[in-house]
Amino acid sequence: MPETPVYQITGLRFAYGPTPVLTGLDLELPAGRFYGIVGPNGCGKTTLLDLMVGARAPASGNIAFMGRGLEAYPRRALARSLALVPQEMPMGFPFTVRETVLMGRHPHIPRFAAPRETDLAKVAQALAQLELTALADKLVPELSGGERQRVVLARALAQDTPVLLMDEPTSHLDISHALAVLRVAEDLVREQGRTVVAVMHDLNLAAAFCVHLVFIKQGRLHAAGPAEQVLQSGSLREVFGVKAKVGWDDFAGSRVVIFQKPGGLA
Amino acid sequence: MKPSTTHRLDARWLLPALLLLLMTLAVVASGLGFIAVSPAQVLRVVAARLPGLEEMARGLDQLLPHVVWEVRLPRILSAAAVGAGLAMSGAVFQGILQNPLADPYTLGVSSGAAFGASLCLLLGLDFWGAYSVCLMAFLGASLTLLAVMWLSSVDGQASPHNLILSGVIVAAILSAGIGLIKYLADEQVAVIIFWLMGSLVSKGWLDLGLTLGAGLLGLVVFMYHARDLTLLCLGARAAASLGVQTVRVRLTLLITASLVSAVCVAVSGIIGFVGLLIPHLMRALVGPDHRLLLPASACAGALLLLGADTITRAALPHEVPIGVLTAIIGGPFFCYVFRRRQMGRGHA
Repeated sequence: MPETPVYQITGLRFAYGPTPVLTGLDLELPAGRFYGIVGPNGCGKTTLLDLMVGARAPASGNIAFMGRGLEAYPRRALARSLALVPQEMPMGFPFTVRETVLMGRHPHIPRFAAPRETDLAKVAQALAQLELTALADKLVPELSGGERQRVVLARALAQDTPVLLMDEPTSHLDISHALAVLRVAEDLVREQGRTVVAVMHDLNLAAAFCVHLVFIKQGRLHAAGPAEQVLQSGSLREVFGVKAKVGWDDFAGSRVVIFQKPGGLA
Repeated sequence: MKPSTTHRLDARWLLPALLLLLMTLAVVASGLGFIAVSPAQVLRVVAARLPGLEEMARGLDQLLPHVVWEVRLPRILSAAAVGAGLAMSGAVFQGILQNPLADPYTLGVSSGAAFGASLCLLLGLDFWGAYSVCLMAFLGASLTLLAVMWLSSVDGQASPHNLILSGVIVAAILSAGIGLIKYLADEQVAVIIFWLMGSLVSKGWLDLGLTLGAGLLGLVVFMYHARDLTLLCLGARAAASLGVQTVRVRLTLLITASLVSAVCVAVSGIIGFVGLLIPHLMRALVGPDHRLLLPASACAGALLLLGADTITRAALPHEVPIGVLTAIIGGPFFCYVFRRRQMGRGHA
């Protein structure tokens, strides 16, 4: 008997007021893989993540999470199975890095209890994985954009969930940190069998790390499958409207995408 | 700029220290004034109220129990309760709005309460005895909050920016309304103006009971949700993914904080800067975790207002409205703190 997929999404629709964002999206994500969601700006990627984490309710359609309707989960129980790395973290208040990462443990700590040894150990581990140990007692508002993004990731790692959703986790990172962060996520999938779903902008990073890619166009699923099947110059033309060359590269160890600037030689 | 490592006070010492300081100040302040009473005499008057200790007051001047118990103590404790309530609700509003510069005024809640109370004074409404002004203030505050939330929310979710903008707009309309009430009030205008400036003169046990009741209710609700409020500081989306019922928690806290600040405004008039300044200072001392910030703010707010009220009552030759005093002292101090933070931050 096949294992229950992490997500089974059928006929998903959502609109902000009169503006339709998702227009009947179907998607099935089996467990234990690194998924990359790609698509042009405004195609509904962030909205899809919002719906997948239960922060918004769909206008119609159904999202089953681990075989059960998402809306049937109590919030705290869901937070023990599902972590979100949002794109932006407002930080008006002077929390330290360690305090912020410890907040990821709250779904596991009763309301009035103090953190246990295991909670502090998970926090220390998450800080180490993202090379934040030296910054642990610094104030988050005083960090750089890239350091803050790693703090958000560390918080999600400390949450220690089987499923991790990430909204452009590398948008503020330099290439060295971007590769390191995606490597951490890849290890979660490979060594611990977790499921990672990441909205990705950089197609080459997506090709390098995400074994499965999901193309979204105008609020619908355009294509989904193993990267070597769906990452083709044809699909990039159809979804993004750009001319690109796609092929395997031995040095990269993955498929790579090379773009032609608009108006260039065809 | 190299990020600074934080130094925070240990709350296990700070909270008891603040409470002890508060009690000492309350006893000392009860002795200050036109008739001087020693702290020992104050304690004897209070002790004599306890069952079985009636003989403690023996040998004291007949006047002292009246001065201390009937006149000074209710006012002093009211000042402390109002200070605690304003500081707590200020901290809660700042947390929900994710804006360290927010307070009951930013949401228009204080203006709403003041409008309701002014209307009550103008029309001479007396349907519920001494509670009438209070009830009207609460009605004004709640209706204002509803209007602000309605103005600022799209499909049930209100962004902090929209809330503050709507609050400022509604407050501007309401202060025009208060101006109109003052214009219409004729001989009543002095009462309204003095009340609006903020005063704790002639507060009795009834005012104290009301403020204390609202304050304690607020404290219980706030502390129950303190951790959720701290998580909300990461943004609604992140808080929801950490298991917080964001919509329900926000609504509960907004309503409770409005109730607490409305009762404070109804009892004492408009007293500014306590709700803004105290949470700011305490955040620098104990950090932004609301489980510590809220009780620390309550204690410090009580201390500040009790101190300020004692100055207006006992130290100045003429009694200055306390709202004027807190604004004159608190305003420039706030500007100093704010400016220093801006300079120290640079990019933040």
